Amino acid sequence: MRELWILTKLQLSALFGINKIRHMRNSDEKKIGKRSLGSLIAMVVAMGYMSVFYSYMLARAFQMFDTLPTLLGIMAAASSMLILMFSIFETKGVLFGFGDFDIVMSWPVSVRSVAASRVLNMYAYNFVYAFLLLLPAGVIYAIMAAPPLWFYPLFLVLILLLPALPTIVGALLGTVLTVFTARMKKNSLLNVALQMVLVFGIMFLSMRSGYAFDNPSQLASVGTAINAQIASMYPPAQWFQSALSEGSMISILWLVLTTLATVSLLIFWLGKNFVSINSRIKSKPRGETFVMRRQAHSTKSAALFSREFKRYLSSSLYVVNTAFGNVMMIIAAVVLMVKADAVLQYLEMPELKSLPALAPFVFGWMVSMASTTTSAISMEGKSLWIIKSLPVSAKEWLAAKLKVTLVLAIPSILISATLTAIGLKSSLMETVWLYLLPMAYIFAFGVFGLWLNIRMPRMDWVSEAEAIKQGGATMVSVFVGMAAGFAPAILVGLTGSALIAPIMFVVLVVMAILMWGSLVRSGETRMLKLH
Amino acid sequence: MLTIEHLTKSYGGNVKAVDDLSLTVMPGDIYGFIGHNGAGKTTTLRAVAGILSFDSGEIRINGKNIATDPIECKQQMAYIPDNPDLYEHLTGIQYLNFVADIYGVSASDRDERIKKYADAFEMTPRLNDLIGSCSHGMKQKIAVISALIHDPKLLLLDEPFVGLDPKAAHTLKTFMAELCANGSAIFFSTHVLEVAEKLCNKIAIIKGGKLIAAGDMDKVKGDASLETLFLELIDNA
Repeated sequence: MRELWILTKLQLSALFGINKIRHMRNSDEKKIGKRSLGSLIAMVVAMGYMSVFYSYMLARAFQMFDTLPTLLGIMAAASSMLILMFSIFETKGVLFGFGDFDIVMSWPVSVRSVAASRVLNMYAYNFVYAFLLLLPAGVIYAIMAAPPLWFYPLFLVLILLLPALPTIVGALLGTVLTVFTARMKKNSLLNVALQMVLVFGIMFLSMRSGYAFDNPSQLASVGTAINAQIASMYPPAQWFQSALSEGSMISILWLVLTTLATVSLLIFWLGKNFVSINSRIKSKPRGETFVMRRQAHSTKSAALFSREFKRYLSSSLYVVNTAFGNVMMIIAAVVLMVKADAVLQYLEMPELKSLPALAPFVFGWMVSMASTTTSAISMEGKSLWIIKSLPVSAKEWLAAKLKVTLVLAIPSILISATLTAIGLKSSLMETVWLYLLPMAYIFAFGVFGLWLNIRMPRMDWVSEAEAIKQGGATMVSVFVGMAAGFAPAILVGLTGSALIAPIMFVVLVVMAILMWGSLVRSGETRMLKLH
Repeated sequence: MLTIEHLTKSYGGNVKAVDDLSLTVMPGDIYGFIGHNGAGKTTTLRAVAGILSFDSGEIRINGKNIATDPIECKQQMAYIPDNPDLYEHLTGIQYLNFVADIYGVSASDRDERIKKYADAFEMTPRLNDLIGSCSHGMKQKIAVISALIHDPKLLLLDEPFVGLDPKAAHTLKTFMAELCANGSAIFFSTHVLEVAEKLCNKIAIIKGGKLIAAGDMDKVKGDASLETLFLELIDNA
């Protein structure tokens, strides 16, 4: 246990870069570190606020149907699904193929302790999300339902327990993917494709198990229906709910035993296979024997773009995190083209008026998540010295990073806009905005990502996940993207004004130009300060 | 070729990593830079390479100021750090072509130089391997080839012999001499005093951020060995 604690402490010291900020001597670095930490705290507060809002709204609705405990089940299911997906993405990089593997394995500690400390690291990161979703739900439930005293300690124990199971299941699925693709050529791309299939498969299955309410009379049984949906989608969420609302000992036992059994099994299995899997990942295949032939050469900007694009494709975690928005947009567009009527009916918008006007903003939000630039600077990591020592200006360096985002997003926008325009039978102006507005979003958020990342870099990462998922820039961009997508969409919904799209377009383009100007002006100085 | 005047750099607080350092490297010089760990060698080299800002002073490369004309300065020099953290996702040949593209090396020069240096370091058959799969020494060889590929006027090396096998170290010394014979200059740090003594025509010794001796090797060390002089200066200066 002692060695597990020491190893876990070492892992946790890297979490969110807190330890580095505490011990920094360089005042510039300290300033950057504090800024990143400050933005992370702000984001946690923002997420917490949103979580309180959602929990409150759901609680009010469930109270009306006299099924308040469903709030606990639905939030448990939502947080578990989120953690499951995060864990699949994080397995390669956190559990396997991490940077300090050689040094850690050379210490006199058991393999099982090393593996357990890596799983605990994943759990600690996931717990933050679970806590942010479940604590507000629990507090609101307690205020509204006034449960007996045993609820409070039990709630605290169960929210500690709940993230463990999806972390383990996600880690197992991630391990299968990693092992399967480890020795293949283009393994990163294959890993990305399989992760996408897995994540969208989970989303599809969880939606398919849902109940449809074809007529209002069924609303009376909405509580039963949702409970059945939760139970079929993810039984531990149902156990969590009945344990807390009914004090069901059987549910508590199921939850505790299932969690303990899966954790023990995973740690036992990892103890036996941890080294061999890591060795398999680390032993990269040798290339074919090189024979000197005439080498192709390209321009400086093409070389920078190519380097950037290869870096992007080399990390499955990076690709999955940023491709999600583009893939989601294309799937939404395909659904809108094939089943526009069904979607409109489901959204209770029988008239075809609102959706064509709203779609560009929704696509804008989705595409804002596809910006690769929020961690593009951090991804330079320890190799940053190369670009800093080469005769490359900050403008050329940053432009290559922006181009990657644009090259990835623009084809998705063109495909999605075309499919949606056909599916929704959009007017000429609606079609124009379907193309232009998401383009403005990706341009603005591409620049915004660089603007944020150069101010909040994370260069000292050991695992790519620290740069990609724990960076303050990524978190800020996700939230600003959400606000920039939904706020104008709500305005369109409320006012029906045709002016909101052109105004938003101008705002995004002007903001992007201003931020780009600021980046070019201060880029050299900021680049020099990066370590 | 390289003029450093009153260079000062501190990392927060009052401790100066480099304190009022001045020296000049002329074309054809192989200038050794020695000092104990944490003396300020790497900080000086990084400031000269244009990858680290400094508090005061001036660094000029061929008359150009690194602070105001960084691109023009970098176009004329190459830098290799003490730990060659290269792009692990690229193959050796992809990395070399990337560097050559950035410096605008012509197709014929590129082919000729890659062949010359990769053959000399016995790296040619392995250039299709991912850098991530290479050993420390192989990465160091790729870094050296990438530095030589554009025929730099000033070569900055931080502990260049660490990780190299004896044959590769000998090859590097040969290329260093060849480069300087053609009018380029080399400014490099090392802990291997025998190498510095044999290879360099000039030497600088740094202690606690301050230069305590600098100039022609023969004048600086006199009749003593470089090791004797170094130990004496470090202990007593």
